[in-house]
Amino acid sequence: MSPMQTLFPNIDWPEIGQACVDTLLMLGGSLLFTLVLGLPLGIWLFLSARGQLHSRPKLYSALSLVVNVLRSIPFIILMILLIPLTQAITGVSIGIRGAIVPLVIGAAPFFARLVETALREVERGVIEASQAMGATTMQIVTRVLLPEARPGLIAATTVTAVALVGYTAMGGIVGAGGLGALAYQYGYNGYKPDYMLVTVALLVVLVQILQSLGDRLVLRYTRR
Amino acid sequence: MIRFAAASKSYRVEGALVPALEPVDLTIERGEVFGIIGHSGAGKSTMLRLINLLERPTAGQVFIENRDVTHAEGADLRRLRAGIGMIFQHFNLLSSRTVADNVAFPLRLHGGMSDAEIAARVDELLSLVGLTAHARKFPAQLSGGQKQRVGIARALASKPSILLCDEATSALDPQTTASVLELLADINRRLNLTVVLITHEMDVIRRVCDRVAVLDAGRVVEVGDVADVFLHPQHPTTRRFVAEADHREGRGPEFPGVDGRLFRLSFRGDATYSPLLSRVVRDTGIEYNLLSGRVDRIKDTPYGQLTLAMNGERLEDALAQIRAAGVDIEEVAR
Repeated sequence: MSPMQTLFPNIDWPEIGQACVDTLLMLGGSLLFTLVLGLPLGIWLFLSARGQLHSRPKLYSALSLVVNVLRSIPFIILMILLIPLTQAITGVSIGIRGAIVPLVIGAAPFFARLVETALREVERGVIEASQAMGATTMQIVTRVLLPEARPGLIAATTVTAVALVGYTAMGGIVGAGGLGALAYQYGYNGYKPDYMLVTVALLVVLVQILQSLGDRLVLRYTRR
Repeated sequence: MIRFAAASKSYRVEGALVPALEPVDLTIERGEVFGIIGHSGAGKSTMLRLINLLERPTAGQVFIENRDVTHAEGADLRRLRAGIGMIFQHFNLLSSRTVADNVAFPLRLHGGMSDAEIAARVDELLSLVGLTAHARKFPAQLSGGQKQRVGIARALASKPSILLCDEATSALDPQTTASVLELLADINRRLNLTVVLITHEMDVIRRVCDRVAVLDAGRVVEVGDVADVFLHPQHPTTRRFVAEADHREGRGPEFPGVDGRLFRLSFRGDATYSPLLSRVVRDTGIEYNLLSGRVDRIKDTPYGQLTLAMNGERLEDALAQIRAAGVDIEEVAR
C-alpha cells in the first residue's frame, strides 16, 4: 500500500477532484451573480439614505428591511424556502445550478450592506467637489464613488467570497455537491474521518487563497 | 457678476426652521477678489454655496451675469457649475487618481475634448500652478500646499469665470498660505477671474481682496473696500477681526501716563511713504509720541495706521495740515 492509501484509506481521489471543481463552480457562479446584484443594490442603499445624493428615506427603509430580512434567515432555511424560485429560474432544485440561486439570494444582501459601508467611507467633500464640477449622479457613482471606494469594495468581495465558501459547504447537505457534501456524507454520516480531514483542509486552503488574494489587491489599490 | 437679491437660507432642524443666512443683498463685480469673513457658523460657507447652488436659497434669488439661476436644474445646472471653479479647505482631491488625472477630471466629465487636447490643457494648468514635475504622483504623496495647487489647477480646468474658495488656506501653514494667496491673486489678474473667498482670517482678506463682506450670526454687518473696512471698521465684529489681524486683541486703546491727546492717523497710498509728520512738526512746533502703529500693504496699496499722543499750542494747525495731506484722523477717547 502506498503511504497515501495508508493515511487516507477511504478516499476516492477522483471524487475529491470532482468535488473541488463543483465547489469552485458554485463559488464562481454565485460570486459573479452576487456581485452583479449586490453592487447596484449597495449603491442604491447608499444613494437613497438620508442626507445622501438621492435621499429617499422611505425607499431606503424599504430596501433596508428587505436586506435585513434576507440576512436574518438562516441560510439552510432560505435554501428550502427558495426551492420553488430556484426551480422556476433554473429548472432544477438540486445540484450546482440549483445551489446558485439560494447562494446569491443569501449573499447579495450581505454584500450590498458591505458595499454601502464601503461607499460611506468616501469623503463627503470629494463628492461635493464633483457636484461643484457639474458631475451627474451617474458620473459621481462610476468615476468617484466606485474608484475611491475600490479598496473597501475589494475587501467586501473577499469577505463575501469566504462567506460563500461556507454557504456552498452547507449547500452540500441538500445535495448541491462539492466539498461540503463530501464532508457531510462520508465524513460525518459515513464515519470516515479521513474524508472529513481532507475536505476541511481543502476548504481551509481555498479560504486562505481567497483572503490573501483579496488582501493583496486591497494593498495594491490603497492610495492613502 | 454675482448678485444676491434678498437671498436667505434656513435649515430644518427637528421640525423647526433655523436661519443660517438672513436675507442678503449684495453684488460682486466681475474680476474682483471678494472676501467674506466671519466666525465659524456665521453663514459664510452657506453664502458661498448659494453661488454654485450646492445650497439652494430658501427665499430670494441669486443672479449670475444677470441671469436668475436660483432654480437651475439638470443639464443647465451642470453647465452653470462647469463655469464656476471651487477649491476647498481639505482640497477634496480624488485619492485614487494621479495629479494629472485629478486635473483632467472636470474636462472628461463634460466631454467634447480629445485625449490630446485634455493632455495639453492639463500640462498648461500644471505649469501654471508649478506642479509639472508631480503629474504622475498621487495626492497622498504631496504636501498640503501642493494639494491645494492641484485643487486650483482642477478648478481652473474648464476655464471658469468665477472661482470660489472655501477656506482654501485654513489648513495650510503661514508660508504656504502666502504662496497660495499669491497664486490666487496672480490668477485673478491674469485670467480676469472673479474670485470669491471665505475665511475667518482678516490677514487673508488684507492680502488679496478688493472688497469684503463681514458676516455675523447669519447677517452681513459690513461691506466695503478692504482698505476702508480695515482702517475704519464700524461693526464690533469687524473691529474684533481687525484687532486680531494686528495682534492686539484684548488690549484697550488707553495709554496711562502719556501726556496729550491721542489720535489715530490712517495713511493710504502714496501718503504712507511721505515725510508728512516731520514736516508738520517742523512747521508747527508740536510734539508727538508714537504709541503704536503698523505700516503694511492692503493687497497692492500701502497703508499705515499710527496711534500718536500729540501736544502743543498749534495742535489744531497741525491736525489741519495732516488732514489736508489726505490722512484720516480720529481722536481716540481716553
